[in-house]
Amino acid sequence: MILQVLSALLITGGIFFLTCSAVGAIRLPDFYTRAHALGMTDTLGTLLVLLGLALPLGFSLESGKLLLLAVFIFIAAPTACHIFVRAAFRSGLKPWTRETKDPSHD
Amino acid sequence: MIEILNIVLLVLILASAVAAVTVPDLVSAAFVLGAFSFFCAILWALLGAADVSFTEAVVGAGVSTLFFFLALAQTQASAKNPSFSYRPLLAAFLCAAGAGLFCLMSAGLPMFGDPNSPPNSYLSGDYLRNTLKQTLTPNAVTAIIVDYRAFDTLIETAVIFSAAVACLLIMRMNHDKTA
Amino acid sequence: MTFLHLAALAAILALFPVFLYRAAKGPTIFDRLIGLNGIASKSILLLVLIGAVTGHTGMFIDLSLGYGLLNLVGALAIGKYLESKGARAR
Repeated sequence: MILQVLSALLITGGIFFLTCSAVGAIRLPDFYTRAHALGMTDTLGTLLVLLGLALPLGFSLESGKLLLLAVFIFIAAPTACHIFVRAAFRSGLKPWTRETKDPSHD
Repeated sequence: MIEILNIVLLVLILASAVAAVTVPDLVSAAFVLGAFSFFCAILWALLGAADVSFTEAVVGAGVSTLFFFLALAQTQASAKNPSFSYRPLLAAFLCAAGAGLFCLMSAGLPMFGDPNSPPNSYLSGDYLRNTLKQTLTPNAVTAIIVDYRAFDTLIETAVIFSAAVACLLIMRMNHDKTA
Repeated sequence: MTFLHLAALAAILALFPVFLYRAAKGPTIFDRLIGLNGIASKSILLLVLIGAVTGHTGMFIDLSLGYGLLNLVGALAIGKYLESKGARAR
């Protein structure tokens, strides 16, 4: 019972963070801020949902695979985000400021 | 419940297909096509066809997006999606002719679902009856590919892998020679 | 529990159009990449949740592991290319 409630809490929190990342992806003004929103909140939300799904399964092959997936995403998603941002910075994309006249704001 | 999921996924597939045709430049069309392939892959997974789903994700969403993107990055000056009202009549005529030819040729095939046609009369029924019992795989095609013909699929995968490695090695050699 | 899984499934499905919009609209090429990356990571979660709802957990978790690997490889390839070429931001 405790495990079920904990898993429900984790999944709800994960969905909350994923929604935050989607809002950030659509509302923030330029690429760097969007990458910031996506790189962190997305990873955290995915991790929380995966843990919430793994918790009620106990010690089994499936929960082990879910934990493996969680560890992999914990490493891979920030790496991908970092690569995008570094590529953008090195190819000369200027960060948005309040004074930017022609921002990439949609 | 799964039907609703199917419908939502189909709507997403349709929306991304329409978006890929209507976006103004080709690079974003390539990325939207990647999204289209992801939705397709989820739909195949939902239908129980794990191998098709995985192939769709690898080829459709991964490799072909990368290839489109690399090709467009070389030819970016002239890469614009043609405007939406532009319809070459010749292409439409050729498409219609090809479709007509296919319809004409398919008249010689047995009717769809005909129980007396040669493939249906002795092999398919056997597979359909015994697949779930023998392999515990819900999709019969997947069961045939990865259960009954597992070694075939394994060696095919090995062939594709060695081809990819050979391509990479050849490209690497050229790169080192010129650079 | 299944109700919670269904609700999570619906919420994640509702997030897809946002990232699709970002992939189609995104003013620079990097915005499109991020939109596609968001769709990919959401589809990993969606597959795991579909597995939890339908009961075929093992198969869907294997699939989503594969998708995760593929996602990282694609991101690395495109990111490295963009970094070495210096994309014209547009």
